[in-house]
Amino acid sequence: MIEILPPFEYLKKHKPFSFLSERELEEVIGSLESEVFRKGEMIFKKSGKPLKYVYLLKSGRVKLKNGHEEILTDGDVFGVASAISGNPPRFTAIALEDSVCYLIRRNSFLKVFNSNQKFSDFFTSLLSRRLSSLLKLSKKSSHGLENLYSIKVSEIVSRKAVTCSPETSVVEAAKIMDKNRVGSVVVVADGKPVGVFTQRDLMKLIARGKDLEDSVGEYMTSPVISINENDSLIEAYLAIVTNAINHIVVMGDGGIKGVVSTKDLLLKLSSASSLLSISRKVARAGIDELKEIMEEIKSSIENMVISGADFDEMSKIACGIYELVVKRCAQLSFEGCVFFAGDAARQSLVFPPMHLGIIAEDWHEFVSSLRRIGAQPLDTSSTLNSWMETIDEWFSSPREFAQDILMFMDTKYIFGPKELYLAWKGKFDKMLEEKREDVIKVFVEESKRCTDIAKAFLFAIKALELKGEENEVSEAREAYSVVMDVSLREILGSSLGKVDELLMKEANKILAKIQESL
Amino acid sequence: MTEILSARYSALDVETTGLSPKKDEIIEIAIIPMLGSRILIGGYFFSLVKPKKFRAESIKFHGIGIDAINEAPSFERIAERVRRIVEGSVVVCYSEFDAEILKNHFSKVKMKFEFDWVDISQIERWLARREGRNEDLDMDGLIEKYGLCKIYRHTALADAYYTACIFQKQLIRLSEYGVSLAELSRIGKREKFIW
Repeated sequence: MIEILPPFEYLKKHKPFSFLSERELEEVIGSLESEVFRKGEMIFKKSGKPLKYVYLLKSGRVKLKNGHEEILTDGDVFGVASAISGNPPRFTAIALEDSVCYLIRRNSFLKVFNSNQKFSDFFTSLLSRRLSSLLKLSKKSSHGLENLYSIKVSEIVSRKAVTCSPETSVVEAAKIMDKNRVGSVVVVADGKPVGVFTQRDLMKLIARGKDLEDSVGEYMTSPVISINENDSLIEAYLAIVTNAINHIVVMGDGGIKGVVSTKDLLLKLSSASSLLSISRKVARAGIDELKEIMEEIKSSIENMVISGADFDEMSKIACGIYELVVKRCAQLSFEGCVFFAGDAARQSLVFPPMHLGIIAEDWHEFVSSLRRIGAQPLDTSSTLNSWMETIDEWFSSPREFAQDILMFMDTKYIFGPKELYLAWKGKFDKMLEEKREDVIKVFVEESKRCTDIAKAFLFAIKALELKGEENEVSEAREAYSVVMDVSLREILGSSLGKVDELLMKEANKILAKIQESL
Repeated sequence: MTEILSARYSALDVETTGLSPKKDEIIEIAIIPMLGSRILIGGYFFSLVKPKKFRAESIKFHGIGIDAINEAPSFERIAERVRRIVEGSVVVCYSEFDAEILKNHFSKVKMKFEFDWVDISQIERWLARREGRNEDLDMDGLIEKYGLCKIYRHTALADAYYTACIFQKQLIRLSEYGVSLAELSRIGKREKFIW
């Protein structure tokens, strides 16, 4: 009966308690209390007695005070560190308005903390500020599966249906498959699909020594299972699973639209592989096709992000493909040298625009091609000689050109005479070395001035790199990708959860700490 | 701490075979103990109760299966447990009906057990008058006013919990007005006119 107790339902929906099994939830509920704290009331005191409870703020607002302040809102959990360790709390908690908290007894909290790995990982990641593991943990449950419901079958039918008649010979059907590079033909009689003949069917009848001049009609899988192009992937999935078949025919208004195979579905589900198939098309594409491919890339990436792919894994794949696209575009219309700069070079870019450095006499056509295909280039282009002057100018006044220096600290060669790139890089690195102290100073100031947290992080990270402080750098980088991950999903219109709020809060703390140490 | 913030309470809700506290019978009972404003959720008590006689429709109305009711203990069998939970506390319910029917059940099983009770809707009326507002809320209205979860089912356990949550906040305001336990007992009941 416990499941109809409202706190049970509440915890069940609330991360990380949602990770708990029914039995573990019962354990928590079994000692659960609820208390209201008056506005201004102190819930517990810094360095006071070790906490007997873990607190979950149900409604109201609570302030945590320890040097700096943090405001908690409904759904926030606090007091975990003290309850787990048995040490005095490291901060004071005060109710800012009348606030209701669930109180979870330390003993039952510890019991589930020790029995449930995911649950304890959540808190240990949070307490040790391992933000990326926290992020992963918060996403795990949803990874990829929404695809099944949100994508229409029409979106994954990439190939036209290849057809033959029931009278076609097996040899002829094999030739048709080979010519069209498909694994199946739809057998059509009177304009209607009557069966599917697949590579697997072919293999079977060769293995059994059948006559290859026999007609396909004798060996095809029949009747044919078909679905509408407007159905969602889950329908296709169910049709394939429940009929134990490999191929289903997709029907639209004008008849057969194509075939969906198990492989097609798998590609969509383990989403990264769908982009891999796109990348094969890039090498042979012309400008117009590149434009279509870019569209495809963007929408694939969007799907993957929405279905739970991390900013980090996503940007590695995305930058790899953008590199192919830019290279292909250069092959088609450009003489000179081009390299990635900034986030594209660091492989931390999911969607264009992308920063490029171009060394050439004439770059206009190339840049306008990039624009046309939707790569949204933000380029700095000149001849090598003018580049040298530009670099001198940047470093003579690093405050004014802080953005440019930041951007070009990371570069990646893509296309053209490599010696041009190396000459460019030699110059930039030499100047950076000379002006290192100035640049560090400017970056620290810029970081503190920035209101955009991502940018503030970047300046701080680059300052740390220049100082050679490796430990801090890796913590900052991790926090930076978490910030990027959250804002990326925000841009794509995903609703952010409590965990995202938590992540941003922690990232801000890390930023403040780093800025202080600089 | 004021007297009412250290007293013990028992948030009570029952589902019954009908609307007469004398004739009808309890088929579902839930109690959530409170110590002052602290709700001891883990100490909740819940039981289905097999009535002596009932019509199937009145049971179905509550969404309870007939089989479950037939297998449930009679009130006589749970009376002692209920008494132990409620003893020494003030019963808190949404209407006097719940308290009345529970009292009648105790006397039907020949158990001598008296308890005091308060009705949160009467308390809310008193608070509204005291704060110069004119409102008359039913249970759903109270649930909404107190910002409690809206998606919920009317079961004795959920309603007892919501009753506790509402009373928790009322108690804080009552303590601000310096209300004593004796006064609370009066405030929580309908005014009886003296002719």
